[in-house]
Amino acid sequence: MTANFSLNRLGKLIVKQWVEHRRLYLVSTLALLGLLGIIFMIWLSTTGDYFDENSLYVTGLFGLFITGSIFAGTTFNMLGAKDKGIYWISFPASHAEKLFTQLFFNVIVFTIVYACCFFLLKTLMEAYINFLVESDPSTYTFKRVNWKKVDGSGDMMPIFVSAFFAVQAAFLLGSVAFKRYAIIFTLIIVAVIFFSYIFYLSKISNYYFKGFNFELFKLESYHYANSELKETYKEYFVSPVLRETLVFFMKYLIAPFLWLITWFKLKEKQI
Amino acid sequence: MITIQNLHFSYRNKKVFNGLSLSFSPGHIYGLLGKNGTGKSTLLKNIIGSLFPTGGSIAALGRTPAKREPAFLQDVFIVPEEFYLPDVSIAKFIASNAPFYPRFNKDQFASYLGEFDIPADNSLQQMSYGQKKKVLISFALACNTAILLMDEPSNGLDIMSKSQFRKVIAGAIDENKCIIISTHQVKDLESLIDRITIIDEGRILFDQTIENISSKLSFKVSFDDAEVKEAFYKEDALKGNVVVSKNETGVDSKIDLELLYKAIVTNGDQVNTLFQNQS
Repeated sequence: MTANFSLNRLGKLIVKQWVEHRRLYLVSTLALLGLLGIIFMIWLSTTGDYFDENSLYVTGLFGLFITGSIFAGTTFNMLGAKDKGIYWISFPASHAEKLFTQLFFNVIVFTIVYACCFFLLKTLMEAYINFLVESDPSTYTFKRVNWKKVDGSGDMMPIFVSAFFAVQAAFLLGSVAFKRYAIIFTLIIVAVIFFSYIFYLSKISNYYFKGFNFELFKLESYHYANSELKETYKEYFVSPVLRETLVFFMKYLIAPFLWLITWFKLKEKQI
Repeated sequence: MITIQNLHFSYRNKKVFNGLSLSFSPGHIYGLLGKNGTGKSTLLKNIIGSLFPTGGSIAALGRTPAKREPAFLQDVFIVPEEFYLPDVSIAKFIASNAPFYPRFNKDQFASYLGEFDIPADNSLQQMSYGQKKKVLISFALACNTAILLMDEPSNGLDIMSKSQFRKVIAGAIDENKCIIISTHQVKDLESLIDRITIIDEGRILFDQTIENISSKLSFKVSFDDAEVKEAFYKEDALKGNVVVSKNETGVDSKIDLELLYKAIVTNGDQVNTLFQNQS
């Protein structure tokens, strides 16, 4: 290991983080369990007699995005206060080790704890729904997710997960970059980037694909109703290498890229 | 041990240091004196690397503090004016923090806590500000780091604790350590420091050893009008005048830090001329 990165020191730092924040983590887990319980109860009472497992997952993912972002947004709030900031900065560990410790708790541990809370409550919900279905099959229906279906939930899940890590990494970066109101500022910036991207896409499509049947999140393929029509059109293709690279970057590299920026911001941080 | 050369530092619009040069050696306790807002805390933060110089250089223990390398940070400790301690018991704080300081000594820590009369089984959050500060000072000393920086350490300590503090610090220094204490409460450092550096508006007004000061300056009550007139600093007392004047006797005089500070602030040029002429 190098002078600036030691697994031994990282291990000790993780232990220290746990010892000093154990109470906060336990209370947060209970709060998360309570919050998810309330959301699921609302879902249960508003769904009616047709229960769709897919919407349960969507609700869970929505909760993961919100709570994960809030949790990530508070990661480096110690740096926003003079007293805590000096304690953090002057502590004998490198920035990389300190960042890894936070990633360990706020990304890995948080996601595992969230998944445990979610599946615990989901199991309880399913047991209740199954009880309803078994007691009155003519009224209640429970539609399960078909994970094998092409373009279904099974295919969408990895995209949601990588998007979650990217959004969480953005909030983590925001917690270093902004001294105060980090979550609000990050939310505004993420929203601005997201909507600028959508706006940019719609501009491109309006310019190049005039007359296309365009929807905000979907480009439908062009069909000739009548082959006699002498309409001409151009198709624009991105090189497969470029396309694959971009897709790979969007899916897997945004989060590490933002973590890298966070590391640089930590090195630059002055208190 | 610490060499500061041509240090420049500014907060957004406010220039704090404009070419400050200073050095600190091991085996000494330095007193960094000055009014509020003159840059004492900023200097300490530059030394530990929580602030970065905008110009010039700082070398501490052969390293650049701004890099914040673990090998540097494990050999330097700061007791800031505004400090934080986590909400855990003292035992847990030690168990999770001490392993990062290779020369931490548990027995020393227990002995310092005893000196300060702090029960070792308390939770840090249940303690008063003063008690927490004593725990932090005990921990800082027990870490046995080569550099120990203390920013207004006696703030929040009661009268008894202040004398305990002086006793503990005096016993902790050795030839390998350098302790820098920044304060505006000069009385709290009396008979503790062996070099005084007075900073004002980001520049050094005065920087001398206690030995030099006591041999060249005299602190006394005077009834002699001529002596009062020639003094670097004078202050009305119940009987006569308290003066800081040139030491003509050759016998070391007991230093009154508060008077010295006032003499430097009001008549620094003349005092410094005396030291330059005789050095």
